[in-house]
Amino acid sequence: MKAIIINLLKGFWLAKTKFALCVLASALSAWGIGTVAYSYMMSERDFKENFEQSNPANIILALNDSTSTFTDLLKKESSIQSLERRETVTGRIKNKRGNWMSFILYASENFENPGINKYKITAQTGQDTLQAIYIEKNGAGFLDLTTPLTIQFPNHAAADFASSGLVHDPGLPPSQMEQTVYGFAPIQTVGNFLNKSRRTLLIRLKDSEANATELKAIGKTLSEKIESNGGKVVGLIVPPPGEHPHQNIVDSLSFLQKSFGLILGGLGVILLSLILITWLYPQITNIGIMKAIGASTQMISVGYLTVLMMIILIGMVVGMPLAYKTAKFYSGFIAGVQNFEVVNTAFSLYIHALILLPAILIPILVASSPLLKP
Amino acid sequence: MISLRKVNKTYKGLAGSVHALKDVDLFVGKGESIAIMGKSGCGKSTLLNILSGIDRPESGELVINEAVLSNFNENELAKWRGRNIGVVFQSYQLIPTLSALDNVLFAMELVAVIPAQNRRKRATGILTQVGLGDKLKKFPNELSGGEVQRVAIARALANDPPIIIADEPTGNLDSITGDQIYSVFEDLSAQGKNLIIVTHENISGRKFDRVIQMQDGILN
Repeated sequence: MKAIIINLLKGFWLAKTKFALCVLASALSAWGIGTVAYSYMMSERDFKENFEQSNPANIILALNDSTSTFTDLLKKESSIQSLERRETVTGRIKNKRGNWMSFILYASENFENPGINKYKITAQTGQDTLQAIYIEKNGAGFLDLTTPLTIQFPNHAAADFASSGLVHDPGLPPSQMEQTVYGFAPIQTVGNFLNKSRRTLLIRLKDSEANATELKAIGKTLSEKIESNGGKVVGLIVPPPGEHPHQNIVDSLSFLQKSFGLILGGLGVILLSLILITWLYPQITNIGIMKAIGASTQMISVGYLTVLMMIILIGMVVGMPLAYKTAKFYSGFIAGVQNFEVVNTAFSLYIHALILLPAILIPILVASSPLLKP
Repeated sequence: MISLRKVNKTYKGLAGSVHALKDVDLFVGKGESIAIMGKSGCGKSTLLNILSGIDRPESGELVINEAVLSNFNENELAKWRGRNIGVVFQSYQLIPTLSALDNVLFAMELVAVIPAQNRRKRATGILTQVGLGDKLKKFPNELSGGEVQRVAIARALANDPPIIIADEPTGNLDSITGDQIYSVFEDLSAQGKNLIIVTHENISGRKFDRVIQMQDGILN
């Protein structure tokens, strides 16, 4: 077997271009397959760690309920796991260039420890949270947080607010893309700017697997219950379950990325298989000679497969780091589009092995057909 | 000693089946040299393939130096062939990416009966014996037809097999080169090796213990 391997390597030494092409094709297939697999896993992990961990609301109900009577009524509903008041006020904010830009304020009754549509306070300036506003971290670039923030809400004069720090809300699209600054504050801080009779409730249901139709039906039932008790529902929103606000953009980018990755991987595998076949088919004569002069089929198969594996593994050494880097860059970009924080991109060894498997096996299976000939 | 009894071989193809060997009986004594003659398609190459263990008969018995070849599996047969049979083909069949010396060494390395430390010396000696001592490093494409065939003979001798089988060994060579090749075979026969050559050429004047005619899969 050693003699066969040395003989094959000598053959490659005499045909270096062929050898380089084999390695290149192997690297291409590993790059393509690896990029798709790594970036898919990275993006999935980012989504789970960011968006799903935010415990997104299943239903958002807006009702006229100045005394919280109907809120208390909903709390007794068996289908509801938890609910939380979160008011939204739109206004405008002066950016650091002195120009007004869109501003959306989320006023939360459970500000420091939200249970639904969770956000995370990432930086604090030491200002009293009851007197100041936190800015979603993606909007910080628009503002000068060292000076008071000038904000104007409808029917109110512009007022200055201190900046208490930064918040990360993975359920919101990035400020840069929306050209909107998002603020967060306790309801008590901004109570004057809210509609006194309005309560907007974020609702999490016990049945977290319900689809959009089922959620709509449940929302409707809840609305009818409130209205049958004399209340008034002014808004019912069912966010598409499991979807980020930028899901369409992400899906489109993801489709393109996967398509290009698969095309690259597919072409790499085809190219490698073709090169290996064009190398192996003329070897059928040599294989016959080797058998005639005393080599067993087993010796020949193991010898050829060893050389095939060597070529493919050299390609992997080039292709896999490229795939990992490409996937890391891509998943970082996707995380940016979704306002996610990139989770640690390291993978355990078996994941790498799992990705390597098709990149190795497919060309080997295709190329080894001449070896299996009797 | 080589003994074939009632050996049959049929090939099945799209055009139907061809009965290449029909109840072939053959006995070759130790050190005997024989030539099997016949026209193309008469079954000579099939007979050689069966004698060398490259192919298997459908029926009949083949015993070579007390080894019953039908008892061997593929790997055992390959190992046995490497030690006992040296094959010379009409179209030489050298490994094109190996030099003359490496082709001979390759056969030794595959079979590994010659101790590793003796192989280079032995390969050089055999190539010198067939008149190629000055062309050890030449690749097959750098040698003439006669020289390539002599490398093939040297390779067949690499593991010192007791039997040399040659299939139309001078079929692609001019008469002068053919004479040189037969001279090498005669030397081998004189050394006591069994020599079995199949050919459709005129071999009058060549030294063989026996010349057997073959026609339509039957030995006469």
